[in-house]
Amino acid sequence: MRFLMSHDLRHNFYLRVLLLVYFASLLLFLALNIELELFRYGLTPSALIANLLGNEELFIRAKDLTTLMTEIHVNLFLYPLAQLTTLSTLVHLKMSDRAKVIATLSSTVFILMDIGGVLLIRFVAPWTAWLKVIGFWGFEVSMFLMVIMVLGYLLGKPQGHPVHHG
Amino acid sequence: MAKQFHLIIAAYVLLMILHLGTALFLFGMKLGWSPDSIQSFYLGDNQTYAVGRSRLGLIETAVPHLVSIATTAFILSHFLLFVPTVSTRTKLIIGALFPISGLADIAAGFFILYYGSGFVFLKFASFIIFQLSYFVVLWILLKASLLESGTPPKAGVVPKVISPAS
Repeated sequence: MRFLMSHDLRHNFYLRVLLLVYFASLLLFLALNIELELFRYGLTPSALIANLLGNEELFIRAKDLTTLMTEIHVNLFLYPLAQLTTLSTLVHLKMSDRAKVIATLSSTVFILMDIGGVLLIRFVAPWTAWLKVIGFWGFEVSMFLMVIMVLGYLLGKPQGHPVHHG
Repeated sequence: MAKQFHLIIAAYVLLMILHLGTALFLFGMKLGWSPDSIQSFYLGDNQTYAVGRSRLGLIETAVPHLVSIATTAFILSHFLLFVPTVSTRTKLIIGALFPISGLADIAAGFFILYYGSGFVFLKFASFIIFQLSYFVVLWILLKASLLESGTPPKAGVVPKVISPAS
């Protein structure tokens, strides 16, 4: 694959505004996703186990495979999209290459843990609830930090000279 | 920076392969792989007391899918621009087939509901073509992002300069 990277993104005012609005919305998504997770699965290992495996005392029915796969299907569209757009902008920040690689790999692993954790708890072993908890919070925190860094970058002063075309 | 884009795209493609897997699974679980099962999913079945889909039910599925198919097709197809080893003709065919078959897949559900079971084959064919084109795009991108970094373009294929300011 071949890419051509040029100047500081912030020289383009329109692109800057677009990205600021986009990442502000993404912050809202990340915040509301915590509440969605709370209602859907719970945020602690015991709540996760009760919601996925069912709990007769709390009148909670176990979730079936099709329901879980439907929820995973939606998350596997949303999470990678949020991750891709954030990392693609994060690449433009002045930070070490190693940090960027770690950000990419860790957010991917967190998504896999979050998605896989649901199926592991339900069909393999309840103790894997910890994987799901770490995966979900790892994704949320890593994304939150990356979005904040990107917003800081977009609000900062552009460096160098703008490129003139034509 | 280009190396980091390879990693970001590889991570995204990996997660989208899983997404494709969930789509295949859900199709098999909900609609089934035979014309009869697809027909009974949409129109119901008196013998098994299966209830058919309503217009609202189809719209509730169609609306989020139209957005997600268009978004995914746009993102993945635009990455093909950066793959110099694939001809423009191939990119055009796959890039067009991907969203069009996705659109036909959604439309086929409405056609079955309103115009009869004859459209079951359209549903099946469009879904298969959609998933195949989705997989081909993912395969090209995964191969390009992992193996072809810095590969010179094919003869006659001129990489385009993409700049935010242009």
